[in-house]
Amino acid sequence: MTEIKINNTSYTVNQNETILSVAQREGIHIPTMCWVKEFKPSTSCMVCVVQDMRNGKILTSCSAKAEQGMVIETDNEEVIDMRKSALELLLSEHYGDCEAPCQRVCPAEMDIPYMNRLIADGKMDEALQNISETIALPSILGYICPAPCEKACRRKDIDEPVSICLLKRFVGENEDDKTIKSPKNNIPVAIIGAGPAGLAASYYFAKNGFECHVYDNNDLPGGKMRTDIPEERLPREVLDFEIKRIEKLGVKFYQNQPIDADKIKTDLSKKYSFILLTIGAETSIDTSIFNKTSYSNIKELDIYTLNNTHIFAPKQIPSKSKMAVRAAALGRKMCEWTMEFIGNQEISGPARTFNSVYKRIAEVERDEFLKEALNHSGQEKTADYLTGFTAVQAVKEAQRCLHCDCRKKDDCDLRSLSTEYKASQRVYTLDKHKNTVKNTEHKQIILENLKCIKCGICIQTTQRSGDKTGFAFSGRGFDVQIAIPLDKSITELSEKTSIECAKNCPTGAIALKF
Amino acid sequence: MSDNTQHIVEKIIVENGNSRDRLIPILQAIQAEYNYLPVEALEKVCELTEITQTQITGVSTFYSQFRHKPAGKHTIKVCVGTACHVKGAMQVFDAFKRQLKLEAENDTDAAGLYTLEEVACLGCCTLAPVVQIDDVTYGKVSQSEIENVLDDFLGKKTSSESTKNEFVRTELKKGEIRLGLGSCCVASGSSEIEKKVHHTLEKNSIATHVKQVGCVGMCHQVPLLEIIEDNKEPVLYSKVKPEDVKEIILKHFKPTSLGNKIKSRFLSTVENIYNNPEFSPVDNRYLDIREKQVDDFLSKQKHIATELKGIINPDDIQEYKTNGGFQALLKCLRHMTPEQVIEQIKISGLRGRGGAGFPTWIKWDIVRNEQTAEKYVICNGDEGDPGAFMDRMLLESFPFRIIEGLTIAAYATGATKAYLYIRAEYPLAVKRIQDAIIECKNHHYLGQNLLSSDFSLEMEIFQGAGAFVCGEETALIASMEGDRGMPEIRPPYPAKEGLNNFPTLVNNAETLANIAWIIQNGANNFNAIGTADSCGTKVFALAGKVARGGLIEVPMGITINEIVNDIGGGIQNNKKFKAVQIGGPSGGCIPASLGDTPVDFRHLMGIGAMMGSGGLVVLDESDCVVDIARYFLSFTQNQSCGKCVFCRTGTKHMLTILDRICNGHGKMEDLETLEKLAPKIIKGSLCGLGKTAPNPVLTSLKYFREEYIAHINGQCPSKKCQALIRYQIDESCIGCTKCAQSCPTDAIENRPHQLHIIDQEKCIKCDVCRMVCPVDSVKITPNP
Repeated sequence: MTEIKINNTSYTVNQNETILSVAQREGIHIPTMCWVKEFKPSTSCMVCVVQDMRNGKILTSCSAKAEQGMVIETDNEEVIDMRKSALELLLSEHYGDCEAPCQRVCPAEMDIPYMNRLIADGKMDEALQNISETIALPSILGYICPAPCEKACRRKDIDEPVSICLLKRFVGENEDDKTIKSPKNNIPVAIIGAGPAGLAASYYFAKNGFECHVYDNNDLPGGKMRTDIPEERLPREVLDFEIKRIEKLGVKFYQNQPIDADKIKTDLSKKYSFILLTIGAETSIDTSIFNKTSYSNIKELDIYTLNNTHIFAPKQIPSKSKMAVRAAALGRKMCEWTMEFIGNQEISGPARTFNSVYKRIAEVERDEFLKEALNHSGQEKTADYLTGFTAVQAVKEAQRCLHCDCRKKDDCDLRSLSTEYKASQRVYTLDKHKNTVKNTEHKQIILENLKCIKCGICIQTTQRSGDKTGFAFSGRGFDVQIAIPLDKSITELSEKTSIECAKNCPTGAIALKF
Repeated sequence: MSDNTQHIVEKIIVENGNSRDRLIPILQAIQAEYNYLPVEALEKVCELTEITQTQITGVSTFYSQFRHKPAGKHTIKVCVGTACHVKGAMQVFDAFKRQLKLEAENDTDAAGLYTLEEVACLGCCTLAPVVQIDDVTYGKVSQSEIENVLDDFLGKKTSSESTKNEFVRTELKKGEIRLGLGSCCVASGSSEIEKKVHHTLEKNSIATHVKQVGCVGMCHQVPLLEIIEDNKEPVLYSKVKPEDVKEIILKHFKPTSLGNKIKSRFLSTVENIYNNPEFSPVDNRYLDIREKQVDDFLSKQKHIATELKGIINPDDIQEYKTNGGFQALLKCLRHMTPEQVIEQIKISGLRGRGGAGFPTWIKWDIVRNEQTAEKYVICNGDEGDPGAFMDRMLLESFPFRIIEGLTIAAYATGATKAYLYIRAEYPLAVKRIQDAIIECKNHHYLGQNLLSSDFSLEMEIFQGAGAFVCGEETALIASMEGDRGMPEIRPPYPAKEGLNNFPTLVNNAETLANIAWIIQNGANNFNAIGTADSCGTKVFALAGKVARGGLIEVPMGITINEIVNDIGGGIQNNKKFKAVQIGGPSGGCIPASLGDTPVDFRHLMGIGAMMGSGGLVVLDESDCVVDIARYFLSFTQNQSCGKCVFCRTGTKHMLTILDRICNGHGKMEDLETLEKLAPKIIKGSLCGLGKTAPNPVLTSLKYFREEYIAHINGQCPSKKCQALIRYQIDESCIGCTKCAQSCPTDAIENRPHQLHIIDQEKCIKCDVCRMVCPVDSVKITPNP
């Protein structure tokens, strides 16, 4: 009978069992990337390493067999350091964006390329749902947002940026809102101020099942968007249209209701579990009479208590009208923080997610990026600023998107492990940057070798499928690539196998187009 | 064409088999037919065999032997091995590139006449830099004479159609003429000499034996011709030229045909053959074994693996037998059990000569104790170290001895089949072993119930297709199974689960070359040689800036200084001994100050080097250690299979940093990064390649840190790194215009009788001007 120790506990091991298999069976977490159950271990990414303390050797747990007397540690300092370095080396040869630059700079973190793909495909309802995930006021912002996204758009390296803002506006004008509401949770929430932050917050609270009331001191909701921005910049019917959409979700607006600390103390704090101060910078509420807590671990927010109510006060509310997108983003975060607080009794905010960042598109790469885009420029010029896009124009414009984001950004082992191990892409850098090549010929999948970690899982997948043509390694060492054998085409891969490959690929090297 | 392809591929498959493990031999056969791999032929292979498209692409792009584009009519191979590198091989390579007008990725000239390739080591280190065009080898090639080399080659091509000499002997033969036909000898022109010998003998009707012998080891004196007159001391002639042959022969043998009786003129004997390091084409010298320098070269050596060197004809089984060959095998079969054989190997203390020094008997014992239907033994001759060629020499010069050692290993382990894994780049070794296997079968040293014992053994050759990593036993086995040469995690060790999952013993060629000696002369006698934990001898390829290079076999424990000074005769050109790179790309750069270190497994490990495959390159003060470290790292980086991220990407980063440092763009933090990353590559790589790749960098950083710092400060102390130097002509210029005429980039204006000036913008630092300048006016100075 073979016995090994893992993290100071003894385990009995079956014949020929790997260390990873023992760990998984016993519920000990070891990260993996190039390992797929029942496949031959690739033993290439080295993130599953553990250490045998008898001799200090670093072992790949996916393929190293458990041997009598091993003293394994799965997460000591050296092991963590090795994993981090393995990830950083992989990142140094990982050329591509996780999130597209437009999304990275968007204060609301909107998944813009996905919206573009949906519009390009004519799926306007889904596009609106996608936008609503992060932006509650798409049409309004479509008029007044300064659009940092368009300044970051890579398409401008070729000709002109995609008109993201106008596309968003077009989608926002869709009357057929299919927003899915969570079941009611009967938690009463009061939002103070109906500017962009308050409106956005109310939208997400309502969407997440809260009973949401907005108190505002103006005649109509909208804050400075209504009072400061001229009509020709933002038509009022657009403002009303989106406020209506929020009302439809069940939000109640109480207008001409000036709120101060005393009112909160005597009235609101008795009715609501949460009170959110989304007021403009000019008006202020004296928070000194509330008890400041240490529930918030993030710099953007203070939490106070009064009676049994929690009062969320952002330290800074973006006040200028052109910061409306920031205010709207803050509104959404207020809802997210509240939900985190309900779950954890404190707020840490989401972990900083790793983002791989690509360089500027080189001259020679233009054609590669244009493979997935309509090669025309300046089409947006035909759209009048106030009239916006027609449906046909919108589709055409969306098709100009280069899709520089990664299709697998939310499902990539390399990204999530890089986040977990706080790996940086800047530790190791090579002098020569490889150029992007995209194989887009296949109907279902896209192959990008510069995102490949060379594990060969796709090759095993195609071999197991029994298809005649599958993927193959080509070359050796640093230059090894995933290739289609002989002079075959990727289109010869069956639909089923290609989908399987995209599923098994640990990174975005092989991804479903949609 | 299609029908033709079908026909050719069908024939190849009939000859080579159709199972997936036959892929590499099939690809080699296709390439031999077409000189590259046409897609059409590859598709036919998929149709007709169980080999898949994925397998073909994976394998054919992994090994450097295979081409996917047609090659030129002739192939120019520029050796970029270690010894050639330190003597400027890259500048020669670049000169060919310019001459053939090759653009970036193109390796074949527009006319399709020449294909230009780099090759890791041609095994002629003492003639560095070496260039091989088809089967003609040129030694000591200078970038200023590329055109002459090409002209000479084309000239040879047209004249070589002359008929072969048929020599009919009628008289009783007297004496013997021995001709060295090791790779160095052949490269230096010994086949021309051979022709000339036969010609002279025929013309003068002299009857004597002409015998080809393997490598003598004195590669610094090739081509060698030894004359043995009956009842006289043998006389050895060095650096023989074809035009000298007649005189040499007539000095010793009297012509029998009257008409041809001419005066035999005595050759001048030159007192000190070593003082002039230049390859002198006109002086002929004869070496006397009793002379001091020859005595030094030989007396510190101990020949076990290379026993009988220079004496026997590698092809002659009878001669091998006469000199005690196969006695060890007979002894094992007739008087020893397998266990007793293993016991002898254990007592001998023999450790693997492939690099890591694993005790040989343990491997044998593990395989012996496995109870399976089949077991294999493999002789690992996949030598890939760019500065070592001892496996090649052993296979070429002592084929029967290797076969005998392998057969004994098979008997001891109970193996059913034996393989010799030899690089396809070693055609002579392949041929000699091939012939030797046939001879052995004919004489019943191989086959069913060999030598009337119960033991049966089949033996065959597997030709490696060019991947350094296949020296690693798991990668070697993968390639024999028709896969990319990617190492596997161990355990399971091949001794338990190897080729086709059967127990497999993999031993290095040099290890096997020791076996017969141990059995014959006694394990205790072997054990008595060398040091306590490193018994016996080690063969080294001694090259670089040493006066006398060659293949040497020395007892373990000899010091570095003894090798360099006594055997090697010190440094050429009165320069200073700076360092020695031991163990090739896996080894380390050891400073002269550690010259008293004994050469054995333990001591070399102790100073950060290792035995490796036995490359030993001597560096003098004009060699840049940073450049040498970069050279070895670029080799291993290029040879990484790409499996483990630490090796694949980590070595690339180390190389990027070294490139930066050599270009003068390094930073002090770079040294820290190197020292942090290197141990991770060592710990995080599965196989020996990755585990040792950082050694040259780590040792040079340890012993020559100040040189790294100098580079970071913009200075290359040895004036080697191109980015940190410039060429200038000083006032001593006599205005002869030679430099201007030979400058490949017109960086020097033709100004007769005036001081010439180098245009720094145009200068590519190819060194040609300095080489052609008759008055040494071209100087290398640090970059301002």
